Amino acid sequence: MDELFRLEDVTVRFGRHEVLKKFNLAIYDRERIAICGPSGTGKSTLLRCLNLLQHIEQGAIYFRGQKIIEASKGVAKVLVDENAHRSRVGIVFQEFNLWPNKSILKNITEGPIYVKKLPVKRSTERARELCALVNVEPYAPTDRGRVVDKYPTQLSGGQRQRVALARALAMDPEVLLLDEITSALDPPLAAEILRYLRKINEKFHIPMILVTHHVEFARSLATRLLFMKDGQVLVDTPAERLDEYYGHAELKRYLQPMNADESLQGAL
Amino acid sequence: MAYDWQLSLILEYWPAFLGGFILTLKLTVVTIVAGTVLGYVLGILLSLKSGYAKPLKVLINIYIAFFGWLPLLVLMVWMYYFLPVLLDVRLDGLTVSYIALSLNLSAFIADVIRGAIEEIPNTYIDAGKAIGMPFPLILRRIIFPEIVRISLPAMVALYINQFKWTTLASVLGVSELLHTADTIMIQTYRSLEAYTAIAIIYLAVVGLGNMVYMRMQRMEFFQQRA
Repeated sequence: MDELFRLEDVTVRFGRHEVLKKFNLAIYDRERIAICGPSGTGKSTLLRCLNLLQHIEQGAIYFRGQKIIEASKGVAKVLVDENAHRSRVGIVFQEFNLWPNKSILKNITEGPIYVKKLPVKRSTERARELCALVNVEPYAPTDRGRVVDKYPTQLSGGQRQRVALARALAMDPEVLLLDEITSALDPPLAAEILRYLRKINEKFHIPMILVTHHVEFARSLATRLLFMKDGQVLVDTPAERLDEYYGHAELKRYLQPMNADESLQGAL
Repeated sequence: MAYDWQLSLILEYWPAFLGGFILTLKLTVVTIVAGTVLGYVLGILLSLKSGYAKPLKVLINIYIAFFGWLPLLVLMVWMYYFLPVLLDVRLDGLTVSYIALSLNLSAFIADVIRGAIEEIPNTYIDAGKAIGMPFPLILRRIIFPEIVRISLPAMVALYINQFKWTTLASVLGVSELLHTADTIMIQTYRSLEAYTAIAIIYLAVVGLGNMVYMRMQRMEFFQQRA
């Protein structure tokens, strides 16, 4: 398998707190990695580093064999076009971050039209397809029988997160970074997101790196599981061997079922 | 005592009323445009996070206090006598009215814009960066429309008030609508007719503005954030 990302001795500090410490990791094409661990251990920071939203203070990061950023003594040097890189590496956040002044469709087409400079018509068509994929209706009928664009405020939390997914997918990213995208959602809605992620995986075969504390994501979506603590990787295992490590008391604490209700488990 | 209404007066003087109304509208529109542009610039400057901007921000806050806190009538009369001394030019009442009304409005708008910018979460900017938008594009496509969206209802309320505040220009001899009524009253002694006529015009315009304002508040576009 080809290498997708490689981190070499990456250190990131927030003030005096070292979030990532001499962090090393290789991520391969077609992998779907679930990362779990206590908060403040650098999981989100790791994702933001891969997207260059966060700059590193030490070390280097490679994307498909090409060095994208290197840093020493707190001075980072970005070696690629930052915006071009970000458009190849999709990221979805915990808060849905949809732009409230734009309709659902415009939220999705913004990147394709203004960053990738694709034609408006094609981008809109694609956005409609993606809406269908994540099962969100972008139009609303009015009382007078007209059909108007829907805005983010008219959607539920789960729907908004699905639109955020569609927005990331509209850029045709080579990898999808998912930062605790279900943490702000109730268990049934989180389960729904998981279902859509599996659908997206079947359709696009896109590598994913997801920070999560839901064991279901590790079990039914991920191919590899990382348990991080204090800026280090404590457990790194293929997902099918998760059960061997699930006895690991700490890992189990940070990777829990979405709901104690077993009937929901059956549904997954 | 029954009052003998002479409504023919309104018909007789309608060109004067129309002229006053047009000047009132001109005062309103010009000072709204100038006040908005100036207010936007000041509001954006006030939101700068850089330490270098601090002295500038202090100055802007003094500006806002001065032009926003003074009663508008006091501001206008004071400027009428002070500006010619300061600039060493003769200024007529109309020019002073344009300046004073614009500066006063800009102080309020600067505050509204500052508040709107503070309300925009960083996460919206992150979401733009995340799909590779360069910062100028984020500014143009995300931040600016969001400022407009958040601030517009408050702005429309200010704009409606601005229309009412133009009446103060009459004190400086500007023949806007109220001053026109004054003049007609002096010429004809028919005060009730003259003032009723302009009261109806003011009510109609403000009523129209309020309808727009209420409609806007109901629009999904202006409802709270996602």
